[in-house]
Amino acid sequence: MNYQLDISREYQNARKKVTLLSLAFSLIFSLILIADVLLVIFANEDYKLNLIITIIISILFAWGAIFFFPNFYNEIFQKYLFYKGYESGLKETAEVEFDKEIDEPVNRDKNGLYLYPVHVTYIDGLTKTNKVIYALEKNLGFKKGDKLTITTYQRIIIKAELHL
Amino acid sequence: MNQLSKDRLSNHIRYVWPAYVISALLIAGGLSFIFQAVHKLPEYKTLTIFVSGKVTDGKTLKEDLLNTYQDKELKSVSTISADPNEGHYNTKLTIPGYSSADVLIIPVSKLENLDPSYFAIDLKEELITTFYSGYTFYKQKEVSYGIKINKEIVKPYMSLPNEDCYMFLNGNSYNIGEYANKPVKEHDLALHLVKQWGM
Repeated sequence: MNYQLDISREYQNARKKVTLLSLAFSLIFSLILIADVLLVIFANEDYKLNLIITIIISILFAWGAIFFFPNFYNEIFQKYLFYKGYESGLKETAEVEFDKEIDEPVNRDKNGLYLYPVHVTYIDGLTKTNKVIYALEKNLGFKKGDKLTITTYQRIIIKAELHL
Repeated sequence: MNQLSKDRLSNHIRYVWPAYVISALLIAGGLSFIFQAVHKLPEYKTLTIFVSGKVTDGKTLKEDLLNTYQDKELKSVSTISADPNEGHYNTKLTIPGYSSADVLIIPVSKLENLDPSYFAIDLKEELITTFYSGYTFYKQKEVSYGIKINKEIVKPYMSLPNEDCYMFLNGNSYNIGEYANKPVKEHDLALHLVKQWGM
């Protein structure tokens, strides 16, 4: 059993998502801005109601943006940057022994990209070193003791081949 | 994309809550400022009265004037009050009084050291005939400047010094019709107010 991340497809997916989300955000922002401007322009001297409506929709939009960017957009954008840099980035291939993988994702670089830690033992001749590398997906499908040849980029598993 | 777990959500709230508060305050403040700037009431729809004494019931005063001058599009009434016995009376009379009041109510004792031509229009014959025929005036060098106030009428709203008080029409006002420095005949709220309160 092998694991292979289809970088090209993932890159296209991520790019599409980033573009769509950026467009959707720009569209909503424009609509809110237009609504605000119209509410300001077409208010009369007793503008309390218009002011309250404008404040409410603007605050809801701002809060939505504050919630959306760090929690959703940033992760997709970091994935997009990861795949984009893959072609020209340094890749490492190594022989390892699979130990365990963790189901709970961690925000390794505090940049919003959540990764699943994978505990492996690097085998270099007679030298064995325990290391934690990461995977973008959980449940890679390997079991403890499996011998693998892995390719990583930024310590994230891109490809893993099981030695039969 | 990972599911937004409870931990991530609580972490987000814990670290980002100031952004929610600050953004709400900035938006509310900013939009209020924009609305105020765009929809500022025109000068001729507001009336500012300088009172030498104490405004005892400003709320009723505003309500009564807004009702009385509803047809003249009066939208806002404000008062500036200063006790004539206090040291900073002259400062208050000069800075907010001369610069922004439409009508100034000044006791006669304070007028001895003042030159009304500096802040008030002189009441020309035509104006007196049209609005203030039969009223009592404050004169300096044979020129009429002020109209005596009927204290009984204003008693529910303000307490004035125990002496004669006169109302003066500020030349910078936008509410004195064709007699203003920037004359617009239709905008004559202050003329009517002085007529109503004078005697």
